[in-house]
Amino acid sequence: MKNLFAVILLTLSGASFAQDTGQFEITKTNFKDLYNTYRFAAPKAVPWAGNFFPYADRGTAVKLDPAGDKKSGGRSPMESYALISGGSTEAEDWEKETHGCDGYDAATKKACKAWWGHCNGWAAAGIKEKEPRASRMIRGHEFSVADQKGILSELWLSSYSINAGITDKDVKTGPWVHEHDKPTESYNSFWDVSPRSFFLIFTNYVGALKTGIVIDRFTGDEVWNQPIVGYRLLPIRQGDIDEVRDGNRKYWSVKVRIKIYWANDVDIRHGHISKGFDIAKMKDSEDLDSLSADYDGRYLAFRLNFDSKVTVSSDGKKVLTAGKMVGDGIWEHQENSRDLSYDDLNHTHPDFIWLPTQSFQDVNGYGNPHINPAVVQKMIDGKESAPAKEPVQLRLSFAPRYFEGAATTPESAKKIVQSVIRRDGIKHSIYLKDIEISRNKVVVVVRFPLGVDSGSLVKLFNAAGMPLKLE
Amino acid sequence: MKTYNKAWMVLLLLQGCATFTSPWSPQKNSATKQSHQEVMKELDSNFHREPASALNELNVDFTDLRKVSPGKFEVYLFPKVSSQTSKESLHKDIYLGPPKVFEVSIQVVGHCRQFISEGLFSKYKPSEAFPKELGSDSQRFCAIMEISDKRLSNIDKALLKQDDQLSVRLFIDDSYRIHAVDHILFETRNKNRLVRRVSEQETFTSGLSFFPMDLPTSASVSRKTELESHFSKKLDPIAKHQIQKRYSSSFSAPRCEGVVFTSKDPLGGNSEVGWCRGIPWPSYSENRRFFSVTQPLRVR
Repeated sequence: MKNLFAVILLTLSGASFAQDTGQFEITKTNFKDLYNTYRFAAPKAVPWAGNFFPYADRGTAVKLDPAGDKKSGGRSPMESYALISGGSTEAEDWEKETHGCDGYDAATKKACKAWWGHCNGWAAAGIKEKEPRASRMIRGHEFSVADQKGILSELWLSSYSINAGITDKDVKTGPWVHEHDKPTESYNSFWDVSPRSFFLIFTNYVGALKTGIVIDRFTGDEVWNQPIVGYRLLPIRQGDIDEVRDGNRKYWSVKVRIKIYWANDVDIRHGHISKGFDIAKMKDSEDLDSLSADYDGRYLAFRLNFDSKVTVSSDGKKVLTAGKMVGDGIWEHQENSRDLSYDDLNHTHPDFIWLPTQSFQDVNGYGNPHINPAVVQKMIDGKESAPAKEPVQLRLSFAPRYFEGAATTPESAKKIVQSVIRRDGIKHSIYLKDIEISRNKVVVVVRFPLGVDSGSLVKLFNAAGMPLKLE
Repeated sequence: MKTYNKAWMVLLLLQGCATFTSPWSPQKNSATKQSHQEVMKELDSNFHREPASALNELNVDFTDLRKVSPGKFEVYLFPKVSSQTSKESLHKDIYLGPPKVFEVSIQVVGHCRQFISEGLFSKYKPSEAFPKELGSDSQRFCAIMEISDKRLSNIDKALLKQDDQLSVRLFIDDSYRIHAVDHILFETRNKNRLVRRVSEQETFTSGLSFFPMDLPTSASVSRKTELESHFSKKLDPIAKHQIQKRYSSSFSAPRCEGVVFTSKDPLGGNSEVGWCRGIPWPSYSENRRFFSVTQPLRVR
């Protein structure tokens, strides 16, 4: 174990988790240009509304009727997947075992039943995949819109992504949120998406690149991922601009107002087809526009600061002069945090922002290893897929010294073995019941749904300093 | 003691008016004071994203890019993957994902004036990418480079997804400053989207970390050193094994004298760049998004 951890720590020395604009690359920081060019914007492909397939319903193993409503005798999206992937029920078995609320302590189970689901999978699919808008006949079986949306949400549940901001799911919003001069770790994870980062990410990505991004709209401990469908910066009023002096230095502080809009995943039927969203039709008022159930939004205000004078046109829709942005800025609700309830604060700025780039299986076990992207693509195209690759099951046997000695548990052994396999991005699944720990060896049974080159696997573990035997 | 520009008389006159907004005070509470202190600190700093002058000491000749054999090279990129999607607790751990390979192709190297006023490679509209001032100096060189994601270039188009970034085109000058980046994004099977982002004079970041290599800045701290030990601290045995297995069986850490540049930008980004003496492109770089390694370069 020590060898492996030494290797991994060595690799990541110097890497700290992203703060501020995080992994988002910001090339445009000129406020005047950004405001004037991208005052309101939407992704080129507007993300679609969908259901978040809650864990409380067993995720995408939920039984549905052809219209996409829950029905005990119906067919789940994962059962539908089996029909196009060689008949194996492994994807559904895995879903039932992994994406439910059983096996947790009472507090975790409560959270699981309340809000855990496939919102991140749906949000990423909403950005990267076209919306399924009609059922498809494949191999004599009808694949409903709900089937297709469920399978896409499962495929994208884990993805490579660019991130800004972190979230602390352990701590409820409490008095620490006001401790602006004594920030705790929870405080930092609550406030770490600053107004400047937020403004720059929205205008550079949704504005300039016209790509979709996802926000966690719940600022506190829960996570509600929503794909952004548009934003609108409101006109800047003369009274929003203040000159601030400190000795012989001065800067200009500007109150910026914005409305952000996202696609919905709550109370949306599994087989729902989205209505359109047009950011140009939204209004320049602080009131939230009248939206269909497919979309929701939020008004936010914050201050940005500039090193030279900011002037705006009489209608406030054009910035005439502005200097360089200085400092992170401050949210209006941060400034007035003590006037707001914790629940109010939980529904303010994004807790984190991310952009999915490619689906994959991560180490946390969220990505269903039995879902094959090529098979899913055939489904989207309404075509039959080629015969599935034969799954491979291997027994990996290690000397106990690579683990935690007497303290080795199936959980820790699984984590260590996965931390090596994940480096090669190989789809796999490990079940705790298949791990044998004895004084002489630790045996981990690993299933590779899409096959694996066993020779390469041995070399990978050798490189990690964990030689193994295949039994 | 802070003073404010808005006159108190105006404030009194306007008091009671429904649309009145009182002048904002950074002394309002601890949150505003904190924000004010950040602004003052940043006003005092002088961050500029300019190429590092230490490159001159490395005998780096930008025009050697056209002598790179065979006209293009590869960069192996290890993305930093976070476990943010965990639903149970605060996850800050980051690990290196499987490597991706990017092909860097030197489209053209020429005098800047050729791009700006003589129509060289006009199909890419370089005159709108490079600033006019560069054209007035006959000694300055510029280049257009294209960096493509080999996985996305080689897969069936049917498997591409909305907004997949297929390649970027860099408009770069001989001080290794990036003036513009063209992003080629997948839109439909029959259409890609091209978005040009012209870098600003005082941009916070390099504009390069989209992929796959960062560059040093004038704000970078540079240290002359041998590169091998720095590189080996970054590239663990698994990563080295992956490069050797997938791309270059003879790959080894760069053994050269050079410079390691480190910098931190105002948006919180750290970067480290390792550059060998006499070679026109860095050997490795690390930033918030990735650790990347350049295929060992040969200059004809």
